[in-house]
Amino acid sequence: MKRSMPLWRDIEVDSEFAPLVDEPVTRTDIVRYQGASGDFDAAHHDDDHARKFGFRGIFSLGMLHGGILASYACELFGPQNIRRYRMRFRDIIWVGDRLTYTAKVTRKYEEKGELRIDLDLRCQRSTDDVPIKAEATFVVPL
Amino acid sequence: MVDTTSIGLIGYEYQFPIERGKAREFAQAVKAHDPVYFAGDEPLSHPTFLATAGRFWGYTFDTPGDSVFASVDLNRSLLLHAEEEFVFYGPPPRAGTTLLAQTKITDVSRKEGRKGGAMLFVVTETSYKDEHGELIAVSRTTVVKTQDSPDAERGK
Repeated sequence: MKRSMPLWRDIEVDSEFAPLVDEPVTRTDIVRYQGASGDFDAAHHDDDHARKFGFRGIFSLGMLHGGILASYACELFGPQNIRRYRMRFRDIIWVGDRLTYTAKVTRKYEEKGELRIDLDLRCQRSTDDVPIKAEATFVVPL
Repeated sequence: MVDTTSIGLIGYEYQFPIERGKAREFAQAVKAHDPVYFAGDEPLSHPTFLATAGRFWGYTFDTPGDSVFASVDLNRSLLLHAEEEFVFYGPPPRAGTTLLAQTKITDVSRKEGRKGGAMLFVVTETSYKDEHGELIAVSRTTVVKTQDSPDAERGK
């Protein structure tokens, strides 16, 4: 699973990368994240509880898919190099959703003596809407 | 009740040990495969792992414990996560490190929702310092409380 990181000279604004096409979201994914994160909101594992608040059933956690999006970006540019990560949760994600994670370089610059890039990241549904948008900044070793 | 007078409310500082097993479990849950999260005695923690600090070691709006956030009634039932941001002043922390975390309310604002209901946005900021008091990271969390029931299909 180890791939070589792109070099500074090979990165260009608007560069895109192979997307991560994930398996459909399962209840197991959700339960595992709830245990790992300590967020035990019952709306994510108890259908009756979710319906009480007007939802059609349980739904996933934005932070789970925002986390997978970070994992994807970090596989491209190295987890040790991340300096900023901002997620905006725009819509509910449901069990069974087919999600694709993508990255695009929006800026390449020098700051505080380091070479940096900004990424535009998306968690997109197979129906083409984008439930999570994110931005990340990475330092890029020469 | 939370309103603009809640801005500046600050919780106590607490220890947040980055535990190897917990960091590993978290990396697996967010489908991370890079060996940097798993190899050696002090693997790197996942960049979004910091979000677990309050729930296991400190306080959150849902689980305020005896922190000042116990006085903030946000009617949990209609509270949604709108944004989350992490800023790192170096690489994310490694397992074996113990951080000092502290959360404050930095903004409270009201906006009209698309369907007419008022929406209350609350922004909190958590700082993470190392044993030497050096700032390692900051996270910003925006939650939104809607006055009406969320749309069943769209959740908005």
